[in-house]
Amino acid sequence: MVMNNIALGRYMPLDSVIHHLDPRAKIMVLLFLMIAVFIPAGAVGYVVIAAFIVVALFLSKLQISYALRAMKPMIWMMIFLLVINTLVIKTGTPWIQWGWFSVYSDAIYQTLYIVVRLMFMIILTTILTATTKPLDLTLGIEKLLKPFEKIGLPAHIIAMMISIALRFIPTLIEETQRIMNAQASRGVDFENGGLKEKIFSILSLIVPLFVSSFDRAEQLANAMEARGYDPNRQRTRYKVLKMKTKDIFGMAMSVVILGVCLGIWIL
Amino acid sequence: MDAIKVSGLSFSYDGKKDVLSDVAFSIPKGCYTTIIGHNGSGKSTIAKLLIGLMSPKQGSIEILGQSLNEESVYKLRDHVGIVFQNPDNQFIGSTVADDIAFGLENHCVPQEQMQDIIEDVAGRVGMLDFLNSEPTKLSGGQKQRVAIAGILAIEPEIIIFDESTSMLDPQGKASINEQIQKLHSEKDRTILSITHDMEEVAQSEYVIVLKDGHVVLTGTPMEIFAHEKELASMMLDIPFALKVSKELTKEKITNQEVCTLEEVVNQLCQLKSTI
Amino acid sequence: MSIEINHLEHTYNAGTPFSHQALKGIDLSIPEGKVTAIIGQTGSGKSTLVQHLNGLLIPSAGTLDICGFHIQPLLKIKDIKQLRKEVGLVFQFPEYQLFEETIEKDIAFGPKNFGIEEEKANELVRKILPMVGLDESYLQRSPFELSGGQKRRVAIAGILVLDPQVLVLDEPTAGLDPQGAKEMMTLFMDLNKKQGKTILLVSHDMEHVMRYCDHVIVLDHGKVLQENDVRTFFEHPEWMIEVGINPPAIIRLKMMLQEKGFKIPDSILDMPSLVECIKGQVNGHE
Repeated sequence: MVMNNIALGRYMPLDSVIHHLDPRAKIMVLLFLMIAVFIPAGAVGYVVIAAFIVVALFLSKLQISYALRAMKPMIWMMIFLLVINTLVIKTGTPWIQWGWFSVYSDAIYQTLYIVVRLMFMIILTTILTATTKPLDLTLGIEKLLKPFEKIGLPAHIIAMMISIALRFIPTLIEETQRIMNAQASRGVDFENGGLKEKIFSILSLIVPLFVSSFDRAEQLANAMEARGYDPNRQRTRYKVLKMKTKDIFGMAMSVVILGVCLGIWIL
Repeated sequence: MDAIKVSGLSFSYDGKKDVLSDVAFSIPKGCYTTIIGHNGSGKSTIAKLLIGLMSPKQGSIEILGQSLNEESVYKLRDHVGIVFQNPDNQFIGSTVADDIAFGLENHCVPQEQMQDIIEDVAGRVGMLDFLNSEPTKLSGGQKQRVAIAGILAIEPEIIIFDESTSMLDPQGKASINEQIQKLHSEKDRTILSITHDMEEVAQSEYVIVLKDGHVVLTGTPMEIFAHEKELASMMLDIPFALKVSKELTKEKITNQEVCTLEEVVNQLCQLKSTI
Repeated sequence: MSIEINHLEHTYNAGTPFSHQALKGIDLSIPEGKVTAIIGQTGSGKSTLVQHLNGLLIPSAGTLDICGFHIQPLLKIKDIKQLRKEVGLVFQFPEYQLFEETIEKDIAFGPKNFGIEEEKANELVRKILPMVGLDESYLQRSPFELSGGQKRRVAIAGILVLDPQVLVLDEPTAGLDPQGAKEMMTLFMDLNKKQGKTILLVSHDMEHVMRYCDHVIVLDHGKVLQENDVRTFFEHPEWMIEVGINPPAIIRLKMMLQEKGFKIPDSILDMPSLVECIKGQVNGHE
């Protein structure tokens, strides 16, 4: 069913340069590029970012189709955006004039502009999550947040929360599927039906999911405590991260791109 | 010194109805004990109290001679490990190695020693080839073996199994029971297993029977099984091997009742060789 | 009318890197009015197969004829929704499907989905409740305050209330204590003997299979490895060993004795005849 096709966020166990980069470096690169994407640096800026993305995608050995599939869920949003923009934005040159209906150039440009930004963001995030094991990602986040612990940010607790959430995503997807099947066997139709039926069918899914998740959460908390976990106590860590030259190089590249975009914008 | 000593233990979840009332027992060091009783008899509550996840309403718990209270609980968890029922809900790491490491991290084991310990304990439960596997790729029995490895890494003297095989298929069940046997025999480890599986009970050395929050019977498996009627009233059945053995003694083929298949076969083989 | 399965294949996520063929050409004829066990290891395709029986999954290839429905690839699920009333599927740990405020409402949920009026549905609930060993005092209680075993009974009642012709049970006794398991199996046997319902039981518990089932199907890696009447099946313990299934205690004992040189015919499957057979081969203590 639908659930099995989620591409966004899934780790792809391949052997590539990008896979072996330090997760902290990858997160920083993503951060720099995300900022760069939001700088209105015009076509040149986008071409530079696009070039970087293409190279990264190529190095990561991910299939282009995989990255594109990650964008599938966005298509409806894009269409929606286009429709809204067409109806609302009435500046620039009118391209189509058909009775009361008209499409102006700015509407199209504006939509394209947002769509391209969204695409960049999705592809970048997909590359990060597809080449980094969830746990390494969490560890990276934890280490990057470490300096903020001084001002009271509980970095290791945040990291633990994220890693447990990631760990249980597949379990919850499986569970959702199972409850859907069980309710479908009781005659629930999740796809058709009026509003009242829809609400009821969603309730029949959500309530059991909550009940079992709370159950799970309690058991998990017990298991963690029984194994000596105390969020307020010192812990050692199994995984250690080491920055290498290629990590520095990757980050430097992204800083350069950010600089170029900033430069174009300011000048 | 007793590994576990419980006296006058009472507990209630809602403050009204007692799930456990005046429970007392002691388990000597190195003993393999099973606790049986129907669902709702309070078995799993005992496990949670012993590991200090909840505090008793009344009574005391002593672990290795030390009283269990809010201050001592963290220290005592170095000595007591527990494997729970649901294999999924105790797998914390995203891979086998990470999950085994979780306990080591909590106990502040230096990072340089972790890899060796992880490989050692994973090997002992037969999961060495799966160190980088994610939990979704493992069977229930394999996940429980990882849970055992995670506990072995801490080397506790006491290991509690809280219905750890009840959600497993027969192979999983067999592999965990085999692990329990091994854990018990290889060192002077105290094992406390809460179970429904009468074949496992037959393998243990000491049995505690709970009914509605009370300890009603204690003794060796054979002593417990002798109360067949009482067990039946608690909806517990005697193991198949004992049924056969009873039939064999009734037919005057053997002269002593035993409760494991291995013992039945041994008895019969001795009789056969005398032909 | 029996259930006819022809060359059934199923591939998950076809055309993606995660594509996985779970069923590789299943041919089966499951007899009506009998209790059939489906056994096999985790990943053998059992769950995939049973989800075809009430149209939760549609075959990638092959056909399935059940309760007058002909199911083939590309069929719209909408057209076979009615099939789910005829084939009741009880999943593993069904207590996790409860969600209503009262037990009455939860059991009536199924019938209402199939367009039965509320009053009629409540009447059906009252009829079904005693069958699962609960009385009318439970009707207005919340299902969430019951014990695990009782929750499961309510969940199973939620399927039985649809009065299905075929009942498919996926590990219905998993996690229950021995007594709870026995009561559950007795309920299903009653439904079979008294109401003639066809029952399919997915189980790991060979004691249950041996005691309650008429017919055994063994799946292995998405294929049918064995299809036999229960007697023939248990007379060949090597078939169980082959797919890694732990035989029932009596068969394990028999195999252990055979290994030690006792001559015990494969046809012996009950304790009195086993004891009788041993008696002739040892010197008794007189």
